[in-house]
Amino acid sequence: MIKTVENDVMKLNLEDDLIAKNVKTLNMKLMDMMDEFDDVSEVVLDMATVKNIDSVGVTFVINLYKKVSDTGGNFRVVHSSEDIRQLFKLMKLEDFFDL
Amino acid sequence: MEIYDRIFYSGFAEVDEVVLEAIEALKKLNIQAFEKAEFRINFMLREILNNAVEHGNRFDRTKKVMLKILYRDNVLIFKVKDEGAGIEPLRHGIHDFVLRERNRGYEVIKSFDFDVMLDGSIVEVSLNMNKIR
Repeated sequence: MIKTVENDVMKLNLEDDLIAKNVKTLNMKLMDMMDEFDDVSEVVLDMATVKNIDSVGVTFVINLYKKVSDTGGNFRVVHSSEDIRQLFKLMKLEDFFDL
Repeated sequence: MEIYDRIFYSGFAEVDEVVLEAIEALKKLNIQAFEKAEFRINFMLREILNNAVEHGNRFDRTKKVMLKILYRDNVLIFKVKDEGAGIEPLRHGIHDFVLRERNRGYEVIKSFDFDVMLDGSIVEVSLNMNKIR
């Protein structure tokens, strides 16, 4: 996961699938950057490289959304595939953040 | 017709490897409309195999998970067995936490047109490919 910050916006680019075998590492990276959420107004998760996802991966996105929301920031997901967008809609995640 | 048969040790990395291998085996069948179902099959397989590793075998790497895929009358059947103690068929009040965790994933699977049958440590999921548009 590559992090860039520009104009008060933190962009997180995933580099691999959002699946159980990768989420442990992603959670460790997330722990390291949590304090920085206070310094930005928005966190954008770029899922352009994500082809495969499972419910552990979905839980990662939900936890990220919660952590950003807790600091008063906005959270959105960009560049997800149509299949993943449909899955998120099915899970009613669009009620919480933009897809 | 049996499409795929694999037994593997309990780990998320192994699940990923098996799912990708199983999807490749399914692609070779040239089932009509498979590409439209590929994402949901991929998601479903990860769900039931992750559950077998996590809730069934509780990450015990000495325990194994079995996946069999059959194709019959344009229906794909996925059978997964783990070496855990198993859970009762869906019934309130039994192993509530495990059921809740499993049910969340299974609700998504069901809304993807899969039929799910739980019996102890065996999960059988089927997908009628005639339903795929």
